[in-house]
Amino acid sequence: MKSMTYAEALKSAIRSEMQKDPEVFMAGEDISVMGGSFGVSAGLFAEFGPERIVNCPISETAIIGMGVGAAAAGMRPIVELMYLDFAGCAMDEIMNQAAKMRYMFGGKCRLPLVIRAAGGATVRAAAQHSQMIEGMFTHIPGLKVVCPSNPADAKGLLLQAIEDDNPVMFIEHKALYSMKGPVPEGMEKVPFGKAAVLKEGTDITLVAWSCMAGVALEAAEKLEAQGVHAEVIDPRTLVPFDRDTLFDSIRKTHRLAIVSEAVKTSGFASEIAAMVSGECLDELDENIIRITAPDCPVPYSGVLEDAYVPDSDAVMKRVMELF
Amino acid sequence: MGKKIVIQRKGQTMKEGTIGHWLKKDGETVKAGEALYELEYDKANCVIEAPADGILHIYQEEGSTLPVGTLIAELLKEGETGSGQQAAAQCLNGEADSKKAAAEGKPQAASGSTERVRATPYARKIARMNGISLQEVPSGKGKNKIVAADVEAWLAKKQMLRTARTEDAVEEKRVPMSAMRRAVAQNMLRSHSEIPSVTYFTEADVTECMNLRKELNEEYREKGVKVSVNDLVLKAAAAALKKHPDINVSLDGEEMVCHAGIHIGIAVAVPGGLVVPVIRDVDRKAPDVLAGEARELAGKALAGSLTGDEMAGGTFTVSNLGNRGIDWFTPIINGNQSAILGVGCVKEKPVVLNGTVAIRSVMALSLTADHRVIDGAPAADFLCTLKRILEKPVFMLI
Amino acid sequence: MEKSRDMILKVYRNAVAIRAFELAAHEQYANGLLAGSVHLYVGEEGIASGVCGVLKEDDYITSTHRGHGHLIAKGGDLKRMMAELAGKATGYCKGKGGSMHICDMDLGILGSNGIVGAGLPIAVGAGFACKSHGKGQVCACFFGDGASNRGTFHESLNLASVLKLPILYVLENNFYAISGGQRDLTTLTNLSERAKAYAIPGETVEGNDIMAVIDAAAEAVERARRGEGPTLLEFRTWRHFGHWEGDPDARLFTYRDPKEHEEWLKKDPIPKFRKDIVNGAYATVEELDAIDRKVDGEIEEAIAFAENSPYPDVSILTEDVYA
Repeated sequence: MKSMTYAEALKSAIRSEMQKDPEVFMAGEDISVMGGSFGVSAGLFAEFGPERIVNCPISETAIIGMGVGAAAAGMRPIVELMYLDFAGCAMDEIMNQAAKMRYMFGGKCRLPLVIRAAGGATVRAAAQHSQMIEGMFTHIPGLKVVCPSNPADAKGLLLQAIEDDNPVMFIEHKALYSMKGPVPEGMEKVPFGKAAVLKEGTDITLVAWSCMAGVALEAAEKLEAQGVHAEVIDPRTLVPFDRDTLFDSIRKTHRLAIVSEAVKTSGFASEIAAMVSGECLDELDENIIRITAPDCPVPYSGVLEDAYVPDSDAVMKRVMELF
Repeated sequence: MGKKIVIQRKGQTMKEGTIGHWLKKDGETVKAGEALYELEYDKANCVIEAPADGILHIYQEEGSTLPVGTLIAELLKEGETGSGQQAAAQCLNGEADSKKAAAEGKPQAASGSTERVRATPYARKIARMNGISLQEVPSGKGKNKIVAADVEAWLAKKQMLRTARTEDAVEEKRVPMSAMRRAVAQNMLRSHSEIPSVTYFTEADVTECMNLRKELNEEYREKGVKVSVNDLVLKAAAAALKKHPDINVSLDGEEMVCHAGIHIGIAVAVPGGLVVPVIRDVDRKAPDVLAGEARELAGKALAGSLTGDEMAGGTFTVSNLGNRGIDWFTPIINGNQSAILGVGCVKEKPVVLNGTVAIRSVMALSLTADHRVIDGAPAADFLCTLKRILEKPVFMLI
Repeated sequence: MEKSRDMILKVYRNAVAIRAFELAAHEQYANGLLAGSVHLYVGEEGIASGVCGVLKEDDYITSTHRGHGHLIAKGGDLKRMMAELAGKATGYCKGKGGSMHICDMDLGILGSNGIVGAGLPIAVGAGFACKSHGKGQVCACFFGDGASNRGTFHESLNLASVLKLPILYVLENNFYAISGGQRDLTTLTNLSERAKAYAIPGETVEGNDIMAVIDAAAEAVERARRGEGPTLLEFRTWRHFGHWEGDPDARLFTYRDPKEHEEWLKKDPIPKFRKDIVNGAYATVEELDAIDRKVDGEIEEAIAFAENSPYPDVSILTEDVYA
């Protein structure tokens, strides 16, 4: 174990995979001398050169499309979208090309493509640079959707993503890049579809991923002081989703709150709620709670943005309404 | 003239019947063939259908037990007056009583409140698992719904009450006998008090019989028929009765009735009682036919849908407690028959065979016979024949 | 083109107002009054002020993430601008937009934009409306060298050309798309040559020569008003600061060459414009100094206004999502 930041952990995974497999390369904007907008690729250009750290113009369509083509032709591209919001500029490549190719072509194609992007609010980046739209990608069969919440998972999941033969939306969170934590030094992968139980509890299950996992954990600690023992589950990957861990937890706590930074309507929190009410309803002793951002774009002003993103106090207050 | 609805006779022994439920309301327009009321009698329930179209005028309330043939309702045309006004007046009084009871908040028989209780799914599950109704659970914590904690608290409270009651051991419950219970009680009392009976015991080595059953079932596999041990006992009993017609008799006053056919009743335990459907001409039926019929009748017995005819006309009865682990018992003769065979369980036992000990399948047999018509010797002879047939099933053919 | 004194002085005022505003924003960002992503226009003032100098009030513009200058040049109120940057309720967007989305639709500004290259197709629509309404309006679409590599650039120029729409495509070439140098990311020297592909006039002009900007813009506007379709104007310029406030390049030259930077600083548009104004006898040095002082006063007022304004009430968070 080595202490490193979320950004360093991501770099460590990319670097290891690039050293191991010559088919792995990176493409994106400002990823060479600048080392990426969030410093993830810092130093990689010097180590691997312009052939494997491909610095691109502002051409999201071409960058993601290039990833699709290179993956179909046998390479393992890691393409960087900078901000998750910019997926809008390359949605066809993500939604109609990457996600569907294998299926459309009768399973004849492997598409080992990782699309990395920074999502999330809290840095006053306003409406077009702050969204968590991970749920949108879960609505596209063919994509795997990964949302690491800490440095160790960031590395383990990225190793898995790069070695996965499917297109993976690897959604990082800009508020987490500087988060420090212990990270395994080797090539230990975190498997997809295996949730992490961040804290055990008996009274309510809190499900949260990405930046909200930490918020939920913090809320759980505050709840503990109120005598409520919350269990905190970080699914880590939304597609595939670890239903067993969640259902087992609900069978224990009989209450469920989902904490998500995305807007409420049609978010992945809704999918979890539907999953549980469809298959685990008998175990519920309270209405399912979704603690999410309101149904509006991310505002710029600090006072508004702070009210927009769920924080541990908001989670605690909402949960305490049940007890 | 309206169409009269009376307590229908559904079988030989039926004397009275109980109106279980009216399935149509007073004043409702009814079409011929629609279900009218549920009739409980002797050993079963059945649904009586409307014999004609008309407006239903109910004269007797639910729960009334009345002699066969009693007028309980009429189906009238628009504007027609029925013949049961007096009874109708009675019924209205009854209705007034029930309304009064409702106003006082007393539980009403068969009222079945269906008002939905607000409760969480998990609370519902716990209530369901513990067999309690959510209607009885008070909600706590000022919530407007019942949560699991409420159900658990209620269960704990009930448990405490129950424990307290057991300690006091004074609480008792009085439940009126059901129509079926009453019929069983009457029949048993009459038989037991009127008939001087003797019970004879023996054992049969049914190893070959079990082998035969296996072979038959191999044979019938494609037909999907399964012959039970009891089916073979029925078949063997029929063969023995054929050889001993002096057992297949009834006493009717000063006369002995020697039955022409061999119709064997099979005792079937049902919730709340016992019914005895009858298989006709058992001696003439192939094992697969017999097995099918026995199964069908047992199914109908459990569903409460046996007709009176299906339970009438038995000349002998077989009561099998073998699958409940009983060896010997002294069955009570059924109806106006003269004998009943009690079948015990089949066990592997050491048996001396040709001078050596062998492990064989052995069945316990108990025969109760009416000493007024069947003396010890013929009873014993019959039982020995039956034993011989069960031991060498090939004798069924002779 | 015959240039009026009034027009020249308006352009000058706007250029120095932009400069003063941006320097104030730079300072206030460091002071903490401003937050988020702030992209300064210092060095590029000549283009916005020059182009907008020949526009009428009812003409449209589309802007970029580096949009303060466009708004000021089109008549934006400095107080409401500074308040918006500070996330205050009195700002142009009630604090919801911030620097990247600062905008006044009443001035014919169809948004500053956080998505690079997003303004180009919007300008097609504005141009289409101008043409349909038949009132001789035009639309000036500001975008950068980075945006010229997006598909939207090519699709929009083609469509605008086909429909003969009254649009000025104003390419502000500061030679760097964040860290990506134009010489590394395109194979052209003059980006205006791309106009040939769409059979429209294209011209490369020194953007720091404001007189030249005015001339080129005036000609393109006239052409547009005559119904002869769009023009691509490439203005060469240089940003004096980093890509955004916080860009290490501003201090450390992580991707730009300090020598090149020094050369460009010598070509600052404002001193040259002052000289040209005086030489052209449009105004005296004293008159220009008076304008400078007036602008300084306005900026001080703007900062005070922003500081003294209240933050928005959280209750407005979910307002304005739908009409």
